[in-house]
Amino acid sequence: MYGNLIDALPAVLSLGNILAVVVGVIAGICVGALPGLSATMAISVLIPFTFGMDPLVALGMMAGIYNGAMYGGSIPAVLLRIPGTPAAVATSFDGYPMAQQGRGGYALQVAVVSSALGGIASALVLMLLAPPLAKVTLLFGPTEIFWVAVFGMSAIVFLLGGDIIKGLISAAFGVFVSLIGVDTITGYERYTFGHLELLDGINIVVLLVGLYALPPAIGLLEEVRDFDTKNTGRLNTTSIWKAIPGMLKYWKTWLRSSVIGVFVGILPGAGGSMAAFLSYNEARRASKNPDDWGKGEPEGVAASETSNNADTAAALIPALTLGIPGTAVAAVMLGGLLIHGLQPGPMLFRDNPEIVFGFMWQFLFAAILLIFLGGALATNSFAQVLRLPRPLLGAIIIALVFIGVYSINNRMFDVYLMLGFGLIGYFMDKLKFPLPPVVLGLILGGFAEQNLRLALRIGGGDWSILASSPTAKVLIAMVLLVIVSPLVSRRLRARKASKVAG
Amino acid sequence: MNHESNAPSSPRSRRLDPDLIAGIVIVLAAGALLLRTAGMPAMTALLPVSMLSVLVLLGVFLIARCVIRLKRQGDAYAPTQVFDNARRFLGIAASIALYVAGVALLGFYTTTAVMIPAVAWCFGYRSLKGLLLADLIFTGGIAIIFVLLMGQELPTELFLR
Amino acid sequence: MGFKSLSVAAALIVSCITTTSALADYPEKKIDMIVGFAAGGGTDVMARNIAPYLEKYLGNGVSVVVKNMPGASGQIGITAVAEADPDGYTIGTYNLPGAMARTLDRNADYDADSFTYLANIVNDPNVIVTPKSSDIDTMDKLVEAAKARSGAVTVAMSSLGGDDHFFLQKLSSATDADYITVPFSGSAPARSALMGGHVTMGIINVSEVVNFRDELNVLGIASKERSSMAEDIPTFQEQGYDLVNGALRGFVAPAGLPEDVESKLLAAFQQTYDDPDFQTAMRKSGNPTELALGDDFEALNAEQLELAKQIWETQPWK
Repeated sequence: MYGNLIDALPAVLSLGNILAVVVGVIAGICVGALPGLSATMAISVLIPFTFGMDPLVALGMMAGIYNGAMYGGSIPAVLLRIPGTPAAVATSFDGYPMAQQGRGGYALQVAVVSSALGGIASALVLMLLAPPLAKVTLLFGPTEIFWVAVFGMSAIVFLLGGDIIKGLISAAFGVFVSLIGVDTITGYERYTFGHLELLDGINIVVLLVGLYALPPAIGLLEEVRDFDTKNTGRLNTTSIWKAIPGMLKYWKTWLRSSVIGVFVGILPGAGGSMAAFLSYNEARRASKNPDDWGKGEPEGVAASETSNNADTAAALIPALTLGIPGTAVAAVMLGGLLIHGLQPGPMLFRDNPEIVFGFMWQFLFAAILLIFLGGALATNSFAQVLRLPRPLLGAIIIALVFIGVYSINNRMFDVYLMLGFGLIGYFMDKLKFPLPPVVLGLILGGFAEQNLRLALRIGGGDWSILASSPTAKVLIAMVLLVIVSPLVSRRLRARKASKVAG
Repeated sequence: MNHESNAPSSPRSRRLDPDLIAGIVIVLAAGALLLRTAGMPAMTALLPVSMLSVLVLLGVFLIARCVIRLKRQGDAYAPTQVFDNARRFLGIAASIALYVAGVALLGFYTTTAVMIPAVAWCFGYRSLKGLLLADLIFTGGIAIIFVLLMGQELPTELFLR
Repeated sequence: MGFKSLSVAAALIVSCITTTSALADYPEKKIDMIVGFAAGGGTDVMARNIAPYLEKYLGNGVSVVVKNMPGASGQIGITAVAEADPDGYTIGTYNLPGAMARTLDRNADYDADSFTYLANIVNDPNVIVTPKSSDIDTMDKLVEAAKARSGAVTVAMSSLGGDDHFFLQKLSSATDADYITVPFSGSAPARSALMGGHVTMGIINVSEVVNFRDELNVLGIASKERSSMAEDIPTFQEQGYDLVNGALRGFVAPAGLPEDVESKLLAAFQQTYDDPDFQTAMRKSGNPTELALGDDFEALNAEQLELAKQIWETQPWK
């Protein structure tokens, strides 16, 4: 098996294949960085184009785009509070405040280093541990996946923001949106109002772009003021290599977030945004100064960016071995494999080792390339683009948003839907309803429901199936721990404080 | 939404709290959607009913909170202001709607090439050179990537259909 | 109603005009091939594999362009084909029994008469699989377990109202036993749940099992003869159960295609199917082929519709 890894290396190192990865990373950073465009969209546009290409060239480009976009998404998240990909939502929590304080350049440097490290960790796991981790994935049936979703939901608590009522309304709205479409278990169509386009549910990109990219575009046009770019400030232009030593103190967060990202990645269906939310939450809980989070704590950027890149290659483990993609992007990439006749499964590793293992190498190279390509060069050029005169930037974002949403399924319907979400998002923003719970609700709501009901069908309607397997029991314990531990630690802290006072 | 935009102008409606309107909209919308769960199989209806009920409940809380605040603080109570400039917002909303309609009817490239300079000009960027350059780079760039490189179709131009 | 007849009249006029122009030398411009699924799915790969061969055999330097219109398990794409001009410049992929089942369980804007049936290319028979760890490794053991206790056998499958679901209904009446359906969204999650031993048995297609032979027990295949993709899997008929069922993928055009266009297309599909290079490409992408051309395809469609109606009336799936 490891012999295959070495055998696959020479082909990857050919000029064409290296170039494919480089082009992919650059394209990915651009796509991620442009508000409205997403990795899902870029890869769906790319797939038909790669038919007839050499598989390694095609896959190298996809690996590059995936890694590049996961980092690229942080650029507008930091500079404009528009997450470029769903997984960059958590990056904006601390990244945007940093940019407002004039530390946007540093935020992006933390993001690129963390992204690269997360990506490298993920690629190594994919290369070395794919078959054993696929066995872990198999332990997760509907029951266990339900508990994972519940675990992910626990992150909602800290996303609610200051106003609990509004936070809960946002969360409930997100869950409701996730229920639109055919109920796969009874076949009943929920809230589709006769539209075929709604039967498959609402694509996360449509919602995300509507809620997150359209309102800021409106905001850019709305301001009557002169177009100063004071709030994005001048970006820190010191070399990234000089900045790295100062970041080494985040090593614990890097490690923790990589583990979380990889773990979420190998679970089917959860995806990078859940990884980012969870690892942000965990890093914050472990921090000595949790109250500074959300106000410009670089460690928050590190946590989110590490895990959303750690999720990339790991999400391919279930995709390659079982055909069940770990993220929405991995799902699209699976199509990219199929189009080259590469059917997922154990036979793929036996029949086409040079391609599968070459693909893994490409993931590793793409992650390493991020530091070089995503460093000063890309970061600064995008910062310049985002400092265009505001009315112009607003107009361009509107056009980009259109392209990004239209190209996913080649239809206008999604664009209209996105405009609807844009209107809702605009008012939510103005009335200070938090947006992250909507995203988490959409990702996990229907997902939890479907798995719960599958589990109940398997158990013949008996709810005790939810605690029947050892894996499920461990997960329940984890959920309880997450809910109970903040209460305990708060009490401990209170006791300590009273002792100090006394 | 329209009466909301007039809110800051008249003194009587200054008390019209956007949170209050939001609460009412949420209760009405969730209530209406709740009615549609009637025909669903029990397990299908379970989560929608619970989510919508929670929304109705939270909407009522929101309304109640606004009313209480209003009573306590009286005239001193200043609700959050929604629009910095309602006319501008309506203008932007109209141009986005026009743009999307234009893309569907006339085609993507034509409409985009017109929209970008027009919108940027209307909302305050008046450098002719900058506008034309940005338009050329953006629309041209998209055309090169989508038409030449990818062979991907965006809504086709009217005169090419 | 008035609008409908108007649009029919309009369509007729349009088709008359286009017919006369098509009488010239079809094909004289690009042909759109509408695929109702996203790029990279089984149906899409079939379409992309066949497109260059159609170009070759239709001649005239024509280009066949694949257009993905994903959504509603193919229904959006099929509807677009049904509503296109019948001039031979729009053809589309067609999946059975799904396409016909949707006319029963949803409001579909098309029916069996909306199409000119060109060619069915792929026939992917169903298989019954159980987890490797399971002691149910023959049909007899399975039937015994299903009869022993009602609801004891849970069946993972990829969706409701699809070929796997129809196969289960056939199995249920052939074995006179009840099974509990567990509809996942897609066959890969269903297969993974099987491999993890979370369900008793699963119904998937033979193309989805060939790469997982060592991980699963395959009890039988629902085809008349053994599949060339997996010669060692016995058919159900060999084992005494009269079960034949599968997923079909082919191509249709809108109804009312001019005859000369239709015959040119049919000839091109036949030539494509006979091309050994095409067969190799299909095998490589895991598509078991079986041709049903023109009238044969239409008869096959009618048969599938009849079956779906029967099941829908006795055991509606929603």
